[in-house]
Amino acid sequence: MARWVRVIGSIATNIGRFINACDYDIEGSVIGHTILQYACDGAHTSALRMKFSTMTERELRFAFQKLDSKPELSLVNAGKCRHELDWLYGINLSRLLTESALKQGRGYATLSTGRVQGPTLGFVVEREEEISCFVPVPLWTINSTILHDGKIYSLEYEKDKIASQSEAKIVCDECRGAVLDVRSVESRDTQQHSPYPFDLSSLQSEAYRHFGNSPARTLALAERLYLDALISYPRTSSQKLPPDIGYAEILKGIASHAEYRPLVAKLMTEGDLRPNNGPKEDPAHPAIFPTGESPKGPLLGGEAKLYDLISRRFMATFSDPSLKTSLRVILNHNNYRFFLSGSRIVKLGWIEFYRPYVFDDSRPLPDLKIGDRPKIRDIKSVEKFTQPPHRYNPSSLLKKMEDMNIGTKATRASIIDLLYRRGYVRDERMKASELADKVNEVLSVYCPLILDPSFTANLENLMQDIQNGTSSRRRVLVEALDHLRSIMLSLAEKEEEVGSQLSEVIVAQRVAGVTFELPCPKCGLKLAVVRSRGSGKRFIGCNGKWQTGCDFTLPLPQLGNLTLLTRHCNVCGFQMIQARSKGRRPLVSCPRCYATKARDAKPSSKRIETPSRIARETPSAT
Amino acid sequence: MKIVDANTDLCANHSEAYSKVKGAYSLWFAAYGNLTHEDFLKRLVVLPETGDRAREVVRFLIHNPERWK
Repeated sequence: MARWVRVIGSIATNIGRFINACDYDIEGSVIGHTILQYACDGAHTSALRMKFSTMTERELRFAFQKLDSKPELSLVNAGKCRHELDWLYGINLSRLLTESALKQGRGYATLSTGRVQGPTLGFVVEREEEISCFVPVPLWTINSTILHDGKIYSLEYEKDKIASQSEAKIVCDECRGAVLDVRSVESRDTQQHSPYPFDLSSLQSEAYRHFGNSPARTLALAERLYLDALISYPRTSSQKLPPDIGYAEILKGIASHAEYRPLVAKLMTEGDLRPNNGPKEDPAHPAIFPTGESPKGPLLGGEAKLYDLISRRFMATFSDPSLKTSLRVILNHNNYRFFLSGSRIVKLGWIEFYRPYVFDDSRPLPDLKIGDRPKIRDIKSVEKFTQPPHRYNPSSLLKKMEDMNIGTKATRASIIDLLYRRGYVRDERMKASELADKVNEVLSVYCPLILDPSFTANLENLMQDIQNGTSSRRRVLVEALDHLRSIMLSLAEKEEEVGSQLSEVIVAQRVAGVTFELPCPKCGLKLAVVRSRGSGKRFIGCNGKWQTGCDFTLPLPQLGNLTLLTRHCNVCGFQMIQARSKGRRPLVSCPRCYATKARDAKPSSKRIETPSRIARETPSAT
Repeated sequence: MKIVDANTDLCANHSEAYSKVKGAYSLWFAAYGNLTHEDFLKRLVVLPETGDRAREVVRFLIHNPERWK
């Protein structure tokens, strides 16, 4: 860091004026202010501010002409105070947790917590608790069909679940083979407004839904598109597109892509361009939109998909509502009521622009009218059980963080990634580990505040007070220090006890993390992830190598953090694995199927060479 | 912080699962009309929806029927 400060300092000599052109938000302001203060000889007092949301030449030129000379000291103080509180709580508590476990002499593991990480982990652990203690309760549903005009249609019984077996049996017995009366046919038109423009969270959620991208990957891709001047600044919580971004100009730019041309042409003929702005606002940036600039080279993979999603969403938000007609036929037999539902899209509206990112749930209906008497073809009760709540996935956890006002649009995705890196959660459906449970337990005893979502919410209010000038950075920090001191003292007293509990779980998790559930197919002993002493490569080896001489091995991906999943392969039943690299979609695979495919794919000439190569590479298990 | 139920030897987490298992019995009884708690436990232990901790409690109750108070 000192080197960077020296380099910037050496460049910043004999400068007439300084312009802070960092991102226009709290973080950007703090970064620019700090650089100007420490590397540019206190130039923060006289520097001008350049405000822009897209990297297009037009906006940059405009921002350069409209430089702001107003000091943003209160904004910077609020940003700095946020960082300092994060350091105070995060660094001290994380270090204490890590060191208390390390002092037990059973190996090192980085343990961390923080103002945002603590409550986020708390959500996952709490959900795991609910699932772990879940007791299912039986229920019954009625599955029935009618035959009409040679087609079979499924009916819905008036109660979607029945709590007793006897009641379900009575319904089936009474209605078996019965002739139903069509009592009414209800038709309803529903207008569905076009989607709001994307803020970062809704973009991350949509990209996860359609492409399976983790929130961190979506942010990384969006930032690349922003740096290429293809989209506006992505770290925004706004769902509003102001007119001054120039809707028509952007659409004309988008029309340079052949696939969007007819859509843009249609949109231009629809009259006034008015986006369906959402309720969320961000004072610094508008919602995410394509700039209309053409990419310098062809966009590939994830970037191309994300650009397409953003462009189509932009067009869709200007379009008319869609219109759907829903129909419901009500059929009776004695006191039993059945429904037959269907729907069809009458007017596509925005759906035409947002395809293929919208699901068509249209369902055809039979041509039934009042007085018709279709006969029940088949009826049976199906025993089911109530289901435990779903585990969070990265997208739903991000949504939860947003709903609870935990973290910022810029940090949420990286916090979720951190939970994986620390070994607190695993799998795409986030399963809390025992370590997560233990860390959460320790913190809930000694420092419940760090797990409390309202702590962060209060902090945001304090930040706002600093920005408004009704509180000061110093006052907030002094209060926080007083609070933290008492926590640290009580934790330090129990350091050995806490460390012992944590290290026990760390060791158990470390062993479990590399040991497969399924035994070795050759000798029946345990299979584990081992690393070659010679090549340093990892692979699956049998623990029986030294006892029984078992030489069973399977290859593993060499890149990314490896997790053994609880899922099993649909083809061969072997335990699945996940390799997770930073900013990339996790690679989930079955090691046994991969090995079989790789073996089959090798040409016969190479197959002859394989044994000697394997013999050289097959390492001793560690 | 969870408080361990003084009437049981179970930890706080298993105590919670225990009370959920016990609470669910009345719903199962009403659902099937007639069901002994032994049959209830036998069915519950094999259901994939049953949570891990709840399943541990069910196994414990199957092996220690006297703890079904």
